[in-house]
Amino acid sequence: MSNDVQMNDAGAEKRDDWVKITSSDGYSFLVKRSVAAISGTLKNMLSEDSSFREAIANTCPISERAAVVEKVCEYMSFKAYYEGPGSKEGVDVNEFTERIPPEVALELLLAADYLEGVLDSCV
Amino acid sequence: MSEAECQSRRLPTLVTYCQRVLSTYTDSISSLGDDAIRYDVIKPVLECCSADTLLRLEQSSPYLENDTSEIWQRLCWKTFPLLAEQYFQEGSEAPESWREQFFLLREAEAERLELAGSRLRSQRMEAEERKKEREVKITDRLPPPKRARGWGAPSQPKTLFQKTKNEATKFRTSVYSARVLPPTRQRTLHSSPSIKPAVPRPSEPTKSMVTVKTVTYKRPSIPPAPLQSSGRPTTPSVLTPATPPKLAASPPSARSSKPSPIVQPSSTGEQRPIKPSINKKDPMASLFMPKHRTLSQLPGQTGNARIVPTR
Repeated sequence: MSNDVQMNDAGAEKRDDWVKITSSDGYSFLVKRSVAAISGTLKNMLSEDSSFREAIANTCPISERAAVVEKVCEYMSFKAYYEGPGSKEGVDVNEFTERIPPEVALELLLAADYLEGVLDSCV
Repeated sequence: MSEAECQSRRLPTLVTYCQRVLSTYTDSISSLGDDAIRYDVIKPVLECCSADTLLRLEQSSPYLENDTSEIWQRLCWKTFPLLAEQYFQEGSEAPESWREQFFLLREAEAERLELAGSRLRSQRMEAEERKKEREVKITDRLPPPKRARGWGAPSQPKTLFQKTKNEATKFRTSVYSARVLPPTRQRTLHSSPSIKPAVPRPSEPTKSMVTVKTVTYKRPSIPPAPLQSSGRPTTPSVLTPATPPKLAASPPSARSSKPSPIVQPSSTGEQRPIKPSINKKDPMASLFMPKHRTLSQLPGQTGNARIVPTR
């Protein structure tokens, strides 16, 4: 993320703007770009450098139902918070597991696998 | 950047979280969906599955079977440690399909259990049967009568109940049967037979009880003997039809010495005077007259071949 520091003002403004993530059943979720960037896949899709349609529209459709997309956004926010400068303490393992309902878990697994891409490594 | 690195390593990925949740609820997973899942993504979940769940998932998503051999192998060893050891020691190579192996082992285990179970069941039933034979049964049929006197002591004569019965019977026979009186009281002798048939008969319903021992034979040692002995040669047979076997013994023994307890004791001479006086007044009164001593206490009583009630 150190790259962001060197961005010009226009870039800095964009960095903090909202992007829309839509689900297959018509729901939309607005998240900060920095949060969406947690997912490597999404980050690439929304990158201004690319000429994807999504990047221009700042909208990223995900072909999962809303319940799944919501959980994805939730996780991204969760991760963004704990990886940001704000919190330094450790995270309890169960912190997020209990937020995943079993009914969604399977789909969420597939979506996460698709979206995370290089989430394990540092972006 | 390094900070971010550390933190990202600390926080589990969403994939990891999902895998954790799925592993907890493996039995509720009906299928893995229509789309193929990468094996390495679903692997941690499959490893936490039970054998039946794994089979079900494989049936719904056959592409999994390519990679699940190791899981089946692990299941075999974990579930059937003994049988797998046995199988392994036989020297056979690893089976082609660990999945097949698993179900073979499971069947073998079930058979073994069934065998042990049936063995246990039969043992338990045998033990119960043996116990039933020994327990007390209620019946309205009489057991076979005991053998006649002279065959030795009856089995378990010494139970308290038996002893009480013995004594009661002796007491009754002594009270109800004829008194052997001194020669001066011949009249009472005539009356006594009449008492005997009336009283003992109703009170002795069972055939095994000794009823009337009208024995009037006295031992030669007793002086007043001759009168009675001559007078009642036939009474035993008449008055004691219920116990022929015992009576059969009695006539011969009567001749020898003592057919009935009342008659025998030589030392009861002093008891006699009391009884004759009562009989003279009222023959029936003697029914309720307690003996001076219980029969078992009379001297010379032990060793007699007594008729024992065999209820």
